[in-house]
Amino acid sequence: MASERFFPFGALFSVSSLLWLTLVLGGCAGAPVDPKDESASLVFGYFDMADAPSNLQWVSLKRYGEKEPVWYDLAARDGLIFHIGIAPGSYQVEKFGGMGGIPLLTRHPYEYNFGTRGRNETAIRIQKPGIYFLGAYKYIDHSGGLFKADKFQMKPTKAPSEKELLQRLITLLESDSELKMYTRQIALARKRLGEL
Amino acid sequence: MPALLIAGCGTLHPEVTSLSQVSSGTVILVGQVELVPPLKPGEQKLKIGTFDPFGAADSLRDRAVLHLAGEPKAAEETWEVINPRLGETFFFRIPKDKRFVVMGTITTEYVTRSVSKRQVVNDVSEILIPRVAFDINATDKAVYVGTLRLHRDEFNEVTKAEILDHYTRASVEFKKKFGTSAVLRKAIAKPLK
Repeated sequence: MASERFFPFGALFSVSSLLWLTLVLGGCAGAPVDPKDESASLVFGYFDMADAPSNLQWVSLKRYGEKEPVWYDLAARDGLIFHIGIAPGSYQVEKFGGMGGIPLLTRHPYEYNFGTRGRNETAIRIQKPGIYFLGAYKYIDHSGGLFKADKFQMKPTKAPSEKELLQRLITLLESDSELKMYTRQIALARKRLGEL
Repeated sequence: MPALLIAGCGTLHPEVTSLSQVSSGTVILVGQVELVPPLKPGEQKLKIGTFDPFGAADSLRDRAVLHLAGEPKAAEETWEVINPRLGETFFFRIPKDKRFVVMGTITTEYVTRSVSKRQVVNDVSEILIPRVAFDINATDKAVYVGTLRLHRDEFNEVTKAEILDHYTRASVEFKKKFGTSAVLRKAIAKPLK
């Protein structure tokens, strides 16, 4: 079970289209992903935050087994999370977050730990560049009551399916003026869709 | 863990160097916890509070934390702990009835960061240690429970746990510390489901 944290200060994150593109297009350390880079993998998944106290605006994918850890920021669009330029390595979602509260009154950022005790369900090993599915998960609240901290669980879910998510992802990539240049990643997604 | 123990909400059982420190209701627990591959220098990120006058980080550095209980209950912190140094034989004095390790962790990250003037959060990552049961008799003064060797993958998931018998080596260390007449009974720990 993961735990939830609360940040009671003013809005720190605002997702503009420019920020979103930075997240999606930014490789390791924020450098843009070269469309010709054949070592880059497409990684995607889904978080259903309908029962969470916040929306979903960012997801942090951590690379493990290195001398110093490396993080990628996955973009989030209506629950669909993805990145078009992940380098080979071992990864899992470490943290994610968004904004919650009452607009203009109590709005503030939320940050969640997906699970930091060993391997969690999103763990993947990218040895060969390709397309990788982190899974679909639903936020389940476990209220702690008055005297204990609230906890939550990201429960694997079969809906939406990998196929449905791929269809959404392909539509998104092909319709975006900045992302449609990643023809290799789109081809990987189409090939995987054909297999399902 | 460190905060709770400092606040007096838990018990950190001590390591002992003399049999005179052992009363009738307690026993010297002898064993070892190993991590494969071992922690690299600087791998643990421990920054507990902005100011750590009691050295809480030292209670975690290169150490495991094993939560003891008197019955094989569900995996949870009991705050009655021993914190053996990894890769070294330990000699902890524990109550004879606390013969179950119901939860164990090796902390790889415990970093306190401020998020506002009045609130801090702790970023915590841990390696989970499998549960074990000790065989402790009422007449025991000292019990050797084995070496718990933990193999981890790059995600810090324990992929294999072995309980090894290094009694001969541990016995030499025990007699050096407690005298040649001291008796160390071998009772290798068993996994606790």
